[in-house]
Amino acid sequence: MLEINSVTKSFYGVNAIDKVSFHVEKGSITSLIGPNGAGKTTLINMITGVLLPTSGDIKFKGQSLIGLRPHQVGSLGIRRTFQTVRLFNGLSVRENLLIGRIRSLLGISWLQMLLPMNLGDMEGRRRADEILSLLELRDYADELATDLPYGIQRRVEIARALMGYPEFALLDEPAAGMNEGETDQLVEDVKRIRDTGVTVLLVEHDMSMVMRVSDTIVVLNFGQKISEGSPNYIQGDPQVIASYLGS
Amino acid sequence: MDILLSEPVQALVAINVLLTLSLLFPFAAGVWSLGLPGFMAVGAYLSTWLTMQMGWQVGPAIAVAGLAGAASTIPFALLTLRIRDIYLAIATLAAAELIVLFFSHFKPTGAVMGMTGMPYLEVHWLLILATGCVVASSLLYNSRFGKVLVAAGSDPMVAACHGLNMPTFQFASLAIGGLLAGMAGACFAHYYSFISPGNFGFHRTTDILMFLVVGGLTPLGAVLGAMILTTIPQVITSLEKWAPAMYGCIVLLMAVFRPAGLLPKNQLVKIFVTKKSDKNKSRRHLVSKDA
Repeated sequence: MLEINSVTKSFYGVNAIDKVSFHVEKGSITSLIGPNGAGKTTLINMITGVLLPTSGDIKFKGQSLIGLRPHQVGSLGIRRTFQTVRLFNGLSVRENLLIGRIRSLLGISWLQMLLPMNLGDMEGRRRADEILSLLELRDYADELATDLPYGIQRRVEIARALMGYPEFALLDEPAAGMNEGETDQLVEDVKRIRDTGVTVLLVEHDMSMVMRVSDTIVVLNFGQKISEGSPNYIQGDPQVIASYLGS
Repeated sequence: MDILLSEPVQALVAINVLLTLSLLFPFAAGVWSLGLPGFMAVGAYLSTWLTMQMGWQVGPAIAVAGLAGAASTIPFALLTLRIRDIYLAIATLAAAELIVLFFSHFKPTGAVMGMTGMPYLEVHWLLILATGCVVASSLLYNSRFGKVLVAAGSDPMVAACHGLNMPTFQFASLAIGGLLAGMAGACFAHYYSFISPGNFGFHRTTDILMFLVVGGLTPLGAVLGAMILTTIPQVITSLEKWAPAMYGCIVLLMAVFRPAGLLPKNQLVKIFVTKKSDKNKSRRHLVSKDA
């Protein structure tokens, strides 16, 4: 579904990502792991059009994503969350979700743009309720998103990413700052999201989570891919152990 | 209190409310444009020309002045593609000064001496226009479009990653600001029947900015800020020359005690939402009882 072909990104001559290639299979959960500074977020930013690769190609369902702007990538059905929680300040949870519907409305009618959020667009509100139920967030629907506890804000971010019926979701360190109970719930959430037909690319530090959810794991270190395989394979790979624990 | 109901105060309040709303929309969207006096000057001079030279009625002239104000934001909009934040503020400030500088040297509009003799506009028309714009702005601010602006102001990159084309929304917010400023400029011209480049200086931006800071970044906040700060120096006329010092103290006190302004959130929505979630909570309570 997503093909990354020898992508390189250099900042002022330093290669943050160096000829990385891998594929993400449709319907799978693929994890991207690696020590701090390995280039995981840089790679996500290139997929979503925030950064332009120095060389190489990124294809989504056969279409190149190189040179597309973030909103164009977003409307192809690729949605993401962010490493630090970045919810919209001053909007409720439901409004945060519905914002992701608006671009598609633009094509239909300018009149709908001028209506309040809770009028019209039955389909959008039904979808929002569906996702809020899926992630068990219904109780918080009308609260201001930025007033909620941190762990819940993280799940609202995921809910927002799912709003536009994405085929592909990029989750950037969703477990960061979560306690064990919250992480367990997150593992369930990610599996449920995959079961609704969304392909997931997960960037994560939390090994226990990665080993529990992933179908395939890609390991980066200093911008290069050092290993790729199933969780069992990765756990036994001497190169991965060396890069995490030092040789 | 009679002074509050006097016509000059009403006119000043109406014009300042329009100007504060014109600054609200770009600011809510995170576009820190300070081009307001430029758009205002465009509206004022165009409306003057239309009524005095072309024999238009005041009403249509004000409407066209608003549209011209919106059109004059296009070069400013192009700036937003290249620069943002404080750099955009400085660049738009300079661009607005250029517009005003043009009128200071343009002989047909009287250069620095300005123009006089425009048809007079009754105060009640100003009040009707201002009220209409307040209602329209509140509706727009709470519409989907307004929510996108708030999202853009909160985090434009995240909004873009959710499929929203940021430049179009930022351009639209600037154009709405230009429309309101253009109409305010035309109202200014027709109420005072005198305009000169000196009316559209930097002090205009700082005054309006202060109204918005004190009121808060919502339509009702903008209206409240403009009304309170416009009337304070008028109520205590003997203190009028102290107005700048009073404004300074008020802004400092606000910065310390209420940095987000008097009405930072939409109060109507807040009341509605609290009610609703209270209902939810009681329902949750019932559910747990059943279980």
